[in-house]
Amino acid sequence: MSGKWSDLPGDLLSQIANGLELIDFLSFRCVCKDWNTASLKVSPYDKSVLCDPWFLMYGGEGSKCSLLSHQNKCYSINLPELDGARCLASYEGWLLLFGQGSLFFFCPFSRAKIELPNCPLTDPSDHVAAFSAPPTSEDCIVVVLDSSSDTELRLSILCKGEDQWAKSSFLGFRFGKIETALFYEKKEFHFLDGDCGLITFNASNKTNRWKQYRLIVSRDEYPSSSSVLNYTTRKNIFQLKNEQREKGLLEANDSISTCGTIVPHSSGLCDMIIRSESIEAKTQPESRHLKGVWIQPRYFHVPSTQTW
Amino acid sequence: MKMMKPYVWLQTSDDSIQQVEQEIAMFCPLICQEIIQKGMGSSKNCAICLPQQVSPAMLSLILDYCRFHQVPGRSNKERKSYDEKFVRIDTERLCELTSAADSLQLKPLVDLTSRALARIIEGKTPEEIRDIFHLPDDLTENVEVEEEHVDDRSVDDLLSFINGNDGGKLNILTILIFVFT
Repeated sequence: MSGKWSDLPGDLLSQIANGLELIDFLSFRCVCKDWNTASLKVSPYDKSVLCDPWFLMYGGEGSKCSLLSHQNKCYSINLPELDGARCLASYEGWLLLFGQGSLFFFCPFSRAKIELPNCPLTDPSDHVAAFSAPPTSEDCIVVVLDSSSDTELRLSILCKGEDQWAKSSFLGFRFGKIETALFYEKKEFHFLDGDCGLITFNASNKTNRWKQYRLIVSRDEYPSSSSVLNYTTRKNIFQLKNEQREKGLLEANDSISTCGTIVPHSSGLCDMIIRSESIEAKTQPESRHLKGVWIQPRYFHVPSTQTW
Repeated sequence: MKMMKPYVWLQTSDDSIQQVEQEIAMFCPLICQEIIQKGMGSSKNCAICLPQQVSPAMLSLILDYCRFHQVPGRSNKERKSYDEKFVRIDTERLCELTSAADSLQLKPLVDLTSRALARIIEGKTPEEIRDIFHLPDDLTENVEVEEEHVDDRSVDDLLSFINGNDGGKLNILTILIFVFT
């Protein structure tokens, strides 16, 4: 007989890990060295069907973060990478973070990190970002939009593998502050203000890269000069969720700013955008300014040698 | 005249040798290969030497499993209910059984026991798992998550909340359209 009775062969351990939900999978990884090694062979959330996004809250006490699952379970998780950082975009399980003067991709479940070269910003306020594909994909394009000016939008663009950011700017912009960015239909980037303004940017065009539109919500008739978007947007999801909870996620004197994401709508007919939010503290003085991000719960194992 | 059922000789990890019905043993791909490709197991002198993971106790369990599933005409419900009861054994034996079934390449049983082991792990902290499986705490750094508290609202409430059930089914029809300005 072989030594310990729990000496299961590596491929069996991988098979067991493969059948676990994300949180159980994370526990599995933390059990011991052998189990951790076995877990590296599985990437359970690459192939999983999509579920509703989870919410990750950070910025309270150092690296201590809270994670709220789609089943409304709350977990605490220690993520030093999020200490002092701010999330600019969340897409397909990856976060794009700004922290300590640099921009990097981060998967909070595996703590996989991919640094971007030559960070184009020094202060993340008034910035939104989006990326076209996971950072491991050859097609990944990252855009960071500076909307600090009232009349001009300044965009920095970085394609996979490159180290110099391209620049493009848009004048004659007439909407409110841009709050949400996304990549639409494998084609162009969309930037939404808090109301009905939409600016689009097509990185593959040589000219006419920028366009602006007004959004109209309609249930039936719409003008012939219009097109139908395949997404719908939802505002104040975090606020509603927080209010509906028996025990709120926020204390009365906490404020929070959240980063939205885009997920498939449960109807399967379109995508749904969860808008970014900013909630003031109910009572002053404010004690903590928290940050949060909606994230699709996926686990990516990326070798530590992986670079942009 | 009564026909003799063909038997096959198997040697388990404790070096003991036993005779088992061939058609049952053939369920295990490893034993099947030994018989067909190497002509082994026909007598006590050329008994099939089973992998070290297979103790006599495990062999007996595995043969029970094969014997049940080898009988034709059982309904899926019967098979499922048998499987459920079959893996209701203590974790130690379940681990041994998984390793033994794996070494004999008996995939349906490996799948069954792996799922049962996964169910033992579910909802437990790494520490609880280490206790159950007697594993060392030899990892230094990792992402550890800890459940804080459970909200009482049901999953359905939350899903409808995320998907915006406030407007009923109409919400899906609320499509945004854009007009060039």
